[in-house]
Amino acid sequence: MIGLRERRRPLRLGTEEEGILSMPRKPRAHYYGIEADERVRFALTDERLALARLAEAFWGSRAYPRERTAARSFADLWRQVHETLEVAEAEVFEGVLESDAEGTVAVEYQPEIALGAQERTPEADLDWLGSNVEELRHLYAGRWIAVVDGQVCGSATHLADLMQTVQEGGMATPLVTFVPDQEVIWRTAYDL
Amino acid sequence: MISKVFDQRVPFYEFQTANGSVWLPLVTIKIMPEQGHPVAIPVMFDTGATSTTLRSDLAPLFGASTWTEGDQVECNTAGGQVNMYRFDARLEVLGKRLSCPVYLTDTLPPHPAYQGCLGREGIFEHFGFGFWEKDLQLLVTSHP
Repeated sequence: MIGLRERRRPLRLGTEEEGILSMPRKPRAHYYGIEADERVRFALTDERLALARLAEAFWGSRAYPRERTAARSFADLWRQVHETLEVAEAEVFEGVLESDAEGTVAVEYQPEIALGAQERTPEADLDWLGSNVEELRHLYAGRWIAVVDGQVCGSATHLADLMQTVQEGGMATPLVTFVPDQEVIWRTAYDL
Repeated sequence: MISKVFDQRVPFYEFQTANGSVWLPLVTIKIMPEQGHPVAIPVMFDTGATSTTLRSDLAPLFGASTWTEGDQVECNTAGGQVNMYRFDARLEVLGKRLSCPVYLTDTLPPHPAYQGCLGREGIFEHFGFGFWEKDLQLLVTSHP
């Protein structure tokens, strides 16, 4: 396992009463999607402080490309974590952040942080696909579809066109599959 | 006594069809493009497949406008000898990022549940597998 706790740099927080987030280098402010000078004041109940706290832990732990899109939500940040880290490393990271969050962010945001960690995956979308395949055949026969969080977020006759939609829409790791317009042969050696 | 430890499993997914349920051992593999967002596609886990074989119209995911842009190879399959085209791919499979060859073919029937078969070449050597037929458990270790 990789020692994330050792590698990441701590975020400097002010007193709880003041709710000060100290950002020593101005360019880092854009990581949080926040317009800021060197010192920025937030109420500690501000969702962005919690997000910034987690983002700092993540970006501080990695040699991370600066042009990376700023996280706009806990779900965004978690998505970036999972796109960037190996699975085992991401799980360690989640554990560190969830335990850190207990002492550093407002109580009302901790459930949202946990939910961010449990964001839907392509595997969950495959489950959803299994339950809705007949309906999808009625709606999207002969088309490629992109599924995110149990919703069809794009469809096209040609995969290249769907990929353009995926890239333009900034969809993070959609499940992509083809819905045939002809009879599907289901019987296989794995039938029960 | 031989003892093995597994850390994940290949789930069998239930698909509702007009004739009842079908259970399939499926894996989502992430295809990591040179640029842009990765996408995940479902594939059938197939220990009998020598290599990973995908539908020919997935070529855009590998930076090609047509599948024939790959390297042509002749492959022996259960249905006889067929032409396939090989691409070097960057995939994430069962939590590991791998560089391995994939083969595109136009002989796979269209199917909503999977877009090809996950085979052994360049992939299985990174894992260990155990299968329990009785309760359809296909277990995986990332540390073979």
